[in-house]
Amino acid sequence: MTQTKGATEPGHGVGSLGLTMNERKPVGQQNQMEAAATRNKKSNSKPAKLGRDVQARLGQQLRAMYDEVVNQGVPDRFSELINRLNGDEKKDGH
Amino acid sequence: MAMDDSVRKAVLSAVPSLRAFAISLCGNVDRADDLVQETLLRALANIDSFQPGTNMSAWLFTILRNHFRSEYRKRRREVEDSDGHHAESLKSQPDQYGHVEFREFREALAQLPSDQREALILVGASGFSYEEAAGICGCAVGTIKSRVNRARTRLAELLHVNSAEDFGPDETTRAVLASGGE
Repeated sequence: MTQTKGATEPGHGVGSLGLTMNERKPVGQQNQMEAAATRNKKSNSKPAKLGRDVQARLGQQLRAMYDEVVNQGVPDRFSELINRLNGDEKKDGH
Repeated sequence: MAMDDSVRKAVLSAVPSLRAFAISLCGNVDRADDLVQETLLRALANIDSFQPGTNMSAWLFTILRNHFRSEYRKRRREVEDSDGHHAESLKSQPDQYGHVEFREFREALAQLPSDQREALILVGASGFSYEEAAGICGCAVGTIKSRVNRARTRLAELLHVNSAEDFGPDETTRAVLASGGE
C-alpha cells in the first residue's frame, strides 16, 4: 500500500514539470525512476507476496468458475457409458 | 471383470470435477467432453490397475492429463499452432462456463502457461493437496508449489489487483449502487 503511494506521488511531480509519464525523455531522474519501477515489477512477479485478501479473492473466483461446471452434474452420456460398459462386462463375464 | 459397485460410484462421482478440469485444459466444452469420454474408456479398460483404497479421483485426473498431453497437444500442433490459441478459443465462446461475469477472469487464466494453469486449478479448484497434484502432474511437490505461486502472481498482475478492493464492487454493492441511481 505505502509502496504504491510512493510510486505514484513522484509521478505527479514529474507531470507538473511538463513531462507526462508516457514521455520517455532521456532525463536522468525520470529514467532512474522508470528503471526502479521496472525492477520492482520484475522482483514482484517472481516469488509472489500477494496479500491474503487477494489470494482469497482469486481463489473464490477460480472455484466459482470451476464449480459452475461441477454443478452441472454427470451428463447422461457419461452415466450411460459407464452403465453400458459395466453391463457388457458383466455379460461377458458370465 | 465386472466393476465393483463402489468403484462404479467412485468413477461417476469424479466425472463433474473431471469435466471442469478438462475444460480448463482445452478451453472448449465439446473437446473437453470427448477427452472425458476417452479418459473413462481408458480407465474402465484398465480398472484392474486401480489400487483399491487409493484416490479414484486422482487416478482419473492422471489418466486424463496424460491423455491430453499426448493426444491433444499433438493434434493441436498439427492443426493450428499459436500460443494464443487457448485464449482465443475461450474468447470465441464467451458462454463457456455460463456466466459472463467470469469472462475477465477466464481470459486472464487462459493467458497463463499451461503448467501453471493446471497446477493452480488442481490445487485451487479441484481441491487436491500439493502432494496429490504433484502425483497427477508427475513432478516434485516443490515444483507444484512454485507453479501455483507464479500462477497467482501472474493472475493478480493480469487482473490488475493489488488489494481485494481492486476486484471492484461485488454484486450486492453493484445492485445497491444501481438502485440508488434511479
